[in-house]
Amino acid sequence: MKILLIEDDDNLREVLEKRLKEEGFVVESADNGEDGLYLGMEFEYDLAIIDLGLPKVSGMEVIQTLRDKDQSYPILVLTARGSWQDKVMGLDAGADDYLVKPFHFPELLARVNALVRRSAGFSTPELVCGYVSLNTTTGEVKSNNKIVDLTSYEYKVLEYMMMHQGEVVSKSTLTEHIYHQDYDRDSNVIEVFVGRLRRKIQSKESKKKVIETLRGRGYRMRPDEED
Amino acid sequence: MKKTNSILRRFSLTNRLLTTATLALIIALSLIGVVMDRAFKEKTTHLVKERLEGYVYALISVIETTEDNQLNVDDILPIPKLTQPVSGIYAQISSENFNWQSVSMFGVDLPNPEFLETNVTIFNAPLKYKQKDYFRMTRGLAFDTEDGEIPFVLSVTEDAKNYFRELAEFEETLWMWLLFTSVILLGVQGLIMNWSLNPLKRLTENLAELEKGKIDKVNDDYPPELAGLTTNLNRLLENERGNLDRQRKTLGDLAHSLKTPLAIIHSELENQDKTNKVLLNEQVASMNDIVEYQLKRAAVAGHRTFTVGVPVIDKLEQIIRTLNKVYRHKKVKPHLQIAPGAEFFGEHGDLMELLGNLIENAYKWCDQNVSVTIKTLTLVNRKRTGLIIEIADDGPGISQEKRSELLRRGVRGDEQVKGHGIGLSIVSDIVESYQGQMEIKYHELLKGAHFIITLPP
Repeated sequence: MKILLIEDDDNLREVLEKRLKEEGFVVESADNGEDGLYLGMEFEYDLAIIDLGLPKVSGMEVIQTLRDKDQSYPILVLTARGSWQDKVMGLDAGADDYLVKPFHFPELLARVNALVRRSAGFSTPELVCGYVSLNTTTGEVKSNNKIVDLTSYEYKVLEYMMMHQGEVVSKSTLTEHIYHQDYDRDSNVIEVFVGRLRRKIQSKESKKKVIETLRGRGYRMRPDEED
Repeated sequence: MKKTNSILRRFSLTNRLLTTATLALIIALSLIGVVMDRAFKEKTTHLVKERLEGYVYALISVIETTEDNQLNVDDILPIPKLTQPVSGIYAQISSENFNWQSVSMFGVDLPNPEFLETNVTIFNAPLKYKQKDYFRMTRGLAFDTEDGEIPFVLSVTEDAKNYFRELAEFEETLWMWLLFTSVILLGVQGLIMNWSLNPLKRLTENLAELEKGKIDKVNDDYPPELAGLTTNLNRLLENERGNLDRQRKTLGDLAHSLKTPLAIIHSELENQDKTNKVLLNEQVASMNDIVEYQLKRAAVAGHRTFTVGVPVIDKLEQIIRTLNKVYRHKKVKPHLQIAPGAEFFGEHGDLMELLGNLIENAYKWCDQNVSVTIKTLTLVNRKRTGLIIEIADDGPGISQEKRSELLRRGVRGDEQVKGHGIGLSIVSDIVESYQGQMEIKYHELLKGAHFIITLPP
């Protein structure tokens, strides 16, 4: 999952970036509204975390501009004041949730997970695709009700695929949303991950592959239709 | 022009009243004087005219013709004054070859009457002749004789001396009385003004004492025109004091309540062996709560005497829209029932905190249904309306003992009920600052928590 973080306080931004990365997110950050807006317009994200009090371009303007330009990924607002007026203004501008500073990181993480999940169309922490299920809160993955042990990269690939069920996900998209910028982007590695993942979660009873490979286009995950 | 305006604006109330009243009095009394003077003149002139007319007719009766068709005046005249020299009434009769003058005219120099056609009358009022004033009535007449008509002119003249003397006397009396009346009226007016402006004077003195700190509110024994001002002033002062007290209290509470966690952290840091991270964390969290709560409390504006009404529906819709977005996964069904035109008289931030915190709690705890009912509250003697806000949900509700615990809390930031966050404490503070009341009940229909807030006008 790829997150855009716009926060002008260096300490807070660095801590958040570090902890979100530890949680397996790809994080790109900006310390002012102008740079943040540029990133937000140019790249594809799964979520943006935007502080309201930003230098150059205010957080409120960033949100409004992003929404005006049809950027539809969820936005979580961080605000220091937390008055209802601020909350209402932020959400009216186009944000999806707010968090009042100071906050505990687990609270932020819960909100981030919930927003990403909701934007993918799931209302519970449990993502389900046929006989495969993934709990975003506990990180537990089951296939035919049996717990499957996945590495963190495999988990990230599966989570992304499950959130985009039915869609064709290209290798480069997958790379972008799973790797940090500074990692070597080798698409072969993705093939290896997908192959291993497929073996781990594939049900023996099902004839159809749980993750289809569409030659030259990418991968697609969809519920196994009963024959 | 601007300068004159500002000078006029600063003109004292007493001077304004005095100037306008005096001017009005002078104009009114002068008009009365002029009109009466004129009426007197007209009336007297009319009397003179009637009198002279009488003389003319009386004289006609004593004119006769002689056998040779000549005019003759009987020696016995019907008017005694015509026979006394210089009596002030003089008669003259003249025709082509006849001239007669009354005895009274002996030694009096008067112009000859002008010739007039038969039956033409003129009245000279007055007739000036050699620096003297007279009234004169002249009439053209003719006698029918066998030889034909004999035209002649008859004139009666009255000395106007008496008339002018009477007039002067009348005018003197008139103006004296008018002057006397003016003095009396001005005196009465002064008394009225003194009496009616007295409350203003008292108020000014009251305010001066207030400024010096000798009293803490203005008296309440003012006439109704000023009572509105003084009552509102007292309310404003009370608010001001209330706000000051609250701010002082908030500051004190903040400082005091931070001391405990600080002391714990301090002693824990001095602990050489091993600092208890969990304990430190707890204390930091508690300090954070305290700061947030007191900051929000300090932001509460509280009851205001003079504010523009905030339309409740606007703010409510914003909050519902926000919460529907944040809690969209819950698919909450809000049921809103708002009295049309309901207004909140206070800081709109206060209204948003009040509604926002309560409705967010309802969204958080509800199963699916949240109901918001807002009615207006009208009190006699108050122009503004108050509000009755009811918020209910179909969640687990609040137990009896927890309710009283929630309502009892307040005073100190560190006495907050854990688990219900800062939201309800802030609501309770806002309600209190608007001299309102909060009740927590069980909602019969939704079978959950039911908050009832009453905000007086």
